[in-house]
Amino acid sequence: MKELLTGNEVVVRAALDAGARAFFGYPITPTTEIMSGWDSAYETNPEKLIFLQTEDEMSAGFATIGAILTGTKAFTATAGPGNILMQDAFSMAEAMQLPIVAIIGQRGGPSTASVIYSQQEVILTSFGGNGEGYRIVYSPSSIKELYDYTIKSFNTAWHYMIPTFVLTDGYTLKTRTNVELKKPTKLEISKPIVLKSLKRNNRQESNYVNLRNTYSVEEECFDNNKALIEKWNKIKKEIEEHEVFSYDKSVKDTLIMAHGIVASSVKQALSDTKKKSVKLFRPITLNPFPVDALKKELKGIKQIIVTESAENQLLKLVKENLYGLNIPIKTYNKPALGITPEEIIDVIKNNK
Amino acid sequence: MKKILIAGEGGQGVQTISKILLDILNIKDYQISFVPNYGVEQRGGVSLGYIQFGKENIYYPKFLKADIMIILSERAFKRADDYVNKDSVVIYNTDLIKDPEIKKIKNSLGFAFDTLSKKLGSQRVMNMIVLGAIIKTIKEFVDIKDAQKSIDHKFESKYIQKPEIKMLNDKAIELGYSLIK
Repeated sequence: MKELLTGNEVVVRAALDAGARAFFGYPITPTTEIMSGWDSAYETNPEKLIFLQTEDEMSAGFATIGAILTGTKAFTATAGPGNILMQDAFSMAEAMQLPIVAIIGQRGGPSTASVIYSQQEVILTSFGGNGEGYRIVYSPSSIKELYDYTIKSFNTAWHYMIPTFVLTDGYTLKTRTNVELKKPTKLEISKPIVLKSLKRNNRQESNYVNLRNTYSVEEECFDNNKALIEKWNKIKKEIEEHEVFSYDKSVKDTLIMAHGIVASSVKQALSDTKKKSVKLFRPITLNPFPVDALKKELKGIKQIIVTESAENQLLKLVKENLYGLNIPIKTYNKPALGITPEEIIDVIKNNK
Repeated sequence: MKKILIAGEGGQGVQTISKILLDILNIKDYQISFVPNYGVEQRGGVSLGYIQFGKENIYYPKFLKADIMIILSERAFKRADDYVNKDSVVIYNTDLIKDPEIKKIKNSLGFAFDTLSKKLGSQRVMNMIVLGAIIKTIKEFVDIKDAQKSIDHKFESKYIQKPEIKMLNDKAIELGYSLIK
């Protein structure tokens, strides 16, 4: 049955359906309704759910981690300047291999900027903090996907013990549409990370796991980095996801790269124009970047067009991952501004 | 696919009209989408509502040109006039829009929405007059009786407490509906 829901409502529904029990956050447009939606859910079920509005995003991030350490499936949501402040906690989760889930509603940048929309938090969400970006970033393209990938984020985070993000935007979160949601069939279980055994014995210190986030010598820190790299290289291929979209199966010479809601705009443009020579490659995971799949799709391609609501975010990832390949890249980039299907149609038509 | 843009001052009811319209369209077998747009202001500022509906899949919630535009204030016209193309039907509020440019639009229809609502007894029913006008404009897609049922359902608890609100709303919708020939 289809229901009329906003993106923010869908996120709360997905978190509940994924078995989340706690939310800690600080309100910021366009994700505030995730917090208020969770608050309403908490009011109807205070025995089971946990909710706290913290004093800022730093404490929201660390409170979420605290709950997760005790075995509670917890998550948070933020945007823009809040995403910057929360990087401290995300970095710690990255270092300690903790399964935090955060919904990022991209708004205009830099700084406070505008409150609804952009795609300028790709690099921050994927690589923020003083680390290397060992984190999973999903970029859903529709409200239906927002539900599916929010649930998947909990499963990925708790299965691989890794910070996982749903990178979306205020257009997707604030759009109200009729959508059919399918509940998940399989959920990962959350266990206390600080305890070796579920039977608690306070007298026996060996029951606790000693988690480290500080290293006295460089060699130890290097060892932790090596462990993180090794794990990342082992799991990334299993996690990478992408989508290829085209009007038909005929031979293509142009590949458009877009992610999130802009990829939806490209889909509409390709459907409306029935353009045969162009296909869309859409990374669903921005991190890890589906580089092998992209290279496979580039066979016979004469040019790449990158389009994003940012100047150099997805573009940076494309260039880094395609280093050494000699395919010209054009751009249609609008930092902090939406890109409509009509504009993409013009880009395709005027493309020589 | 029909594309409707509603634009007015914050507080004029743009978001309310959009939400009621979305509920009305939801009783049909349409794909529907609505995205609001507003600035950082708590009050004031121009408020926009982008609505799309039809049998086809809606990929993207915004658009560049609207089939139907509802413009309720002067500032809203300045903000939204880019969305007009040669076929757009533009319904606007003559009480607040004095810019002569709006009359030059081929399919523009001006009504004194503020005056009309005051005559009915309350400025607050302007929403419903505008809604009635929109329903008439899209009458090949939605039946006035179905729309009425959806609105009655939405305000059910209010209507039970104060039946006079239902009478006022019904009159306003009827008036709005009769404005469009």
